[in-house]
Amino acid sequence: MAVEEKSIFEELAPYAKMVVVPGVTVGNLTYSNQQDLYSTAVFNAAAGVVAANTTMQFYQGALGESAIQQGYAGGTLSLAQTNSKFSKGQAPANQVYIATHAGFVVTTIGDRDLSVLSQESLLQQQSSIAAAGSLCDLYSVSQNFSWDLTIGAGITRTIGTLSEYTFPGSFAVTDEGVSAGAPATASISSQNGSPCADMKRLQVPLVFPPLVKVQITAQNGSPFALIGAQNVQIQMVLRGYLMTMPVG
Amino acid sequence: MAIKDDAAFADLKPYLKMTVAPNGVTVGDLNFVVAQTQWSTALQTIATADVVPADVNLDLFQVAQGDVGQGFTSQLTRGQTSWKDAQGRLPANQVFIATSCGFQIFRRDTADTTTTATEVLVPKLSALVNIANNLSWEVTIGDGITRNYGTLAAFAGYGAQYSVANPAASNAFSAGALLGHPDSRGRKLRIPLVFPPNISVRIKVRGGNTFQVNDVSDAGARTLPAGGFLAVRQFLHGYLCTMPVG
Repeated sequence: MAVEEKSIFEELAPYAKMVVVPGVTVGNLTYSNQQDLYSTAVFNAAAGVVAANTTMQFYQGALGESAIQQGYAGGTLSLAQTNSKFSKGQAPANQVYIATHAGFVVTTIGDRDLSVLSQESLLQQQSSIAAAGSLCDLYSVSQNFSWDLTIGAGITRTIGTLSEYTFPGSFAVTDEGVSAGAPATASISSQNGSPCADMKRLQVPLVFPPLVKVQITAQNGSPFALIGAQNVQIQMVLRGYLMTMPVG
Repeated sequence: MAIKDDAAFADLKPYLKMTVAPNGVTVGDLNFVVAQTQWSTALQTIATADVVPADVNLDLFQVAQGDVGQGFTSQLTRGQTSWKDAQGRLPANQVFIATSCGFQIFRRDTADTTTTATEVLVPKLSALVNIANNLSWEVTIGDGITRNYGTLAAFAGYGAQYSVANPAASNAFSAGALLGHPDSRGRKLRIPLVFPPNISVRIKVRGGNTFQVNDVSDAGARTLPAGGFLAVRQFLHGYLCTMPVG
């Protein structure tokens, strides 16, 4: 069924006349599936410092491909890192993905080599402001990194900071880091958004047109500090519709 | 595609006839380029611990990436601003229409962007509320009248960080305070804030009398340490457009 013929696609209705490829609009596309498309990249903050102009690339590596292109030291990308089958961010000749929402998840991973057993956790925040160099890692990363979008050979546009694109997280029933009535003394975990955060709606959908390379990167500017040396892992999640091109 | 010809721009529909340039070009005549958020950061030096000085006067969106200013002693990067045009002035063919606005307030230990900076949340809720209620922002478009839009507290958002911690048992421990809820993305501007082509838009954060914020001195530290900086970041979410051709 073509999108323009069904009233169930309310979300896409305003964009029915948006051109996906010459001669084909969003309204002409045939619905295939509603799904999230996620991709994970990583960088190393050696000695607890995020170097200037650190860049991460999303959606470059497809499921089963080498993880190196996403910043990992080794291994292959599994469903834990991505469900994208668009190698180099390029959809096949008959498919289009239309993302209507976006969000980012920020975590750390012990080893950047995906073939090694490794612990993953949320970023930490030092709870004691008296501690030397008290830091808010999640806040620093999500405020200092912003994401760029380039479709084909088009102009690269900076869309916004990661802090704006929240993703639903977990809720702890008890205070973390507290024991025997004492205040928190250890570091506490932080996530990019509240437990019931909405992913942010994209004012204009992000389209992966067929056979066109879509590049999405995240980059910081000036250097900043984290609690300690760590591998920061960022997952971008796009929510939208997988479509196929009209036949004939 | 012109804004008026496309159903996609529901946000802008009520403003289609709003004039954005002296030659009569309206919002509806503009061509869409990208929906994006622009941000800009300014620093206020804290000379006395926990004391915000009188007459705070911080420029926002006046210094472009690669230029020096807004309290920083070296070139601004994308970590501080996304803005690429000095003095809040866009090129002759561009218009930015901001439909929502949010602020965040935090601490930074250096004004130098070439060294590793420590950025932390203000570690005391009452101090953050105090600061946000004492600072307000104003806008001047071209040679027009300067209008005050309200306190920063009324435009909270874009903080994102969510933690579960118990800072109540002692002042020594705090998870830090965000301006607004982690999921808040600012406040819709009833009338969009337009950066017209070739016209300087000046945005300032202003304060009044000096005031002292709650300290945390029992922890051996201060909410706002002397020699550090109070950072104010503004986010403007909207549409970058180009002027119609011909």
